[in-house]
Amino acid sequence: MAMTTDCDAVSADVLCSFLSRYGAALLGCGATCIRLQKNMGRIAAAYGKEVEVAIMPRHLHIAVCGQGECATAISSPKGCIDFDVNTRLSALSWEIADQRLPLTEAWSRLDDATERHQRREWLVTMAVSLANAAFCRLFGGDVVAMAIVFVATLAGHYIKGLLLGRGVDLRVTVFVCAFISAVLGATGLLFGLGSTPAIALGTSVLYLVPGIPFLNSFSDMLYRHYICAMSRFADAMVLTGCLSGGLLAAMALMQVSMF
Amino acid sequence: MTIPFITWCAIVGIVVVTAVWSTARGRRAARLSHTRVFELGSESEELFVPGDPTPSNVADYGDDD
Repeated sequence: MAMTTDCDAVSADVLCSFLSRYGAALLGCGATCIRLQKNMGRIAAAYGKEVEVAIMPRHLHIAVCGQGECATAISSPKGCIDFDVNTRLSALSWEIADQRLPLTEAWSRLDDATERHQRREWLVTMAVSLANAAFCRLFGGDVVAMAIVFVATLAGHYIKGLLLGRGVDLRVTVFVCAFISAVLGATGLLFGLGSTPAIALGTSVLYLVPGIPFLNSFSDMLYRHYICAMSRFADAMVLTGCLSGGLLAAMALMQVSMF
Repeated sequence: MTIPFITWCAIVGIVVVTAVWSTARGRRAARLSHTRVFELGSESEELFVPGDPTPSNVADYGDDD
C-alpha cells in the first residue's frame, strides 16, 4: 500500500481506506446523504481521484477511481448523532481541498475530528431542561408549569443518559424516559398546581421528539436518496411511537387527560 | 392512596435513588483512582526480583529455590 505525503500521488486504495472511515464517521454522526456525497467528492477531487458512493441505511459502498486504478470498500456508520463531529468533519473536507493537506496529515486530523471530547453531561442536561421549559412557555404555560417541565425534563434526560450508557436499546429508553417525564409532568394536575397543568404534561416529553432523523429524512428525499429517506423516516416514526406509548402509559396510570 | 399518587411517588423515589446511587458510585470510583500516601501491601509487591515465585506458580518452586 503506497503511503506518501505528496498530495497528488495518493493511490486509490489508500484514499479509499481514508474515505471509508471518513464516510462512516460522517454518516454515523447524523449527516445527510447530500453532505456525505459533497464532502467525499471534494476530498477525492483534492487528491486527483473520483469517488462514487452508494449510501445505504446501514452501509457505505465506496469506489475510488483515477489514473487507471480503482479500489472499493464497504463501511458501516459508527457513533451517535453529534453536530460537533459533523461540523469538524465538514471543516476537514474543506481544509483538505483548500490547503492541499497530505494524506498523513489528513488521517491525523480525522482522528482528532472523530474524537468525542468529554463534555460535562450535566451541562447538556441543564441546557435541555431549560430549552424544554422555554417550549412550555411558548405554548402558553405559566411559571409553575415551566418549573414542573424543567424538573421532569431534568429527570428524564438524566435517566436517558444512564440507560444509553448501559447499552439499553434506544426505543426502550425513549419509552421509559417518556413515561418518567410524563408522570413528573402530571404533578400540576395531581396536586392542583398552577393554572396550565395540561400544558406542562404535554410539553414534558418534547425533548424526546426525534427532530434530526425527521429533518434528515426530508433532506434526503429532496435530493432523491429515497432508500435512506425512508429508512430514517421509519426510525423516526418508531421513536415517536415509543414516545407516544410512554406518554400514553403515564396518562393512563395518572388518570389524567390533556383534553 | 390512589394509583396516580402511588405511581408519582414510585417514579420520584426511583429517580432520586438512581441519582444518589449513580453519584455515590462516581465519587467512589474517583476516590479509588487517587494515589494513596500509605498503603498496606505484601512483601512480594514491595520487593520483587524477577524469578521470585508468584502465587500462581509457587507450586513449581522447590524449597531450595
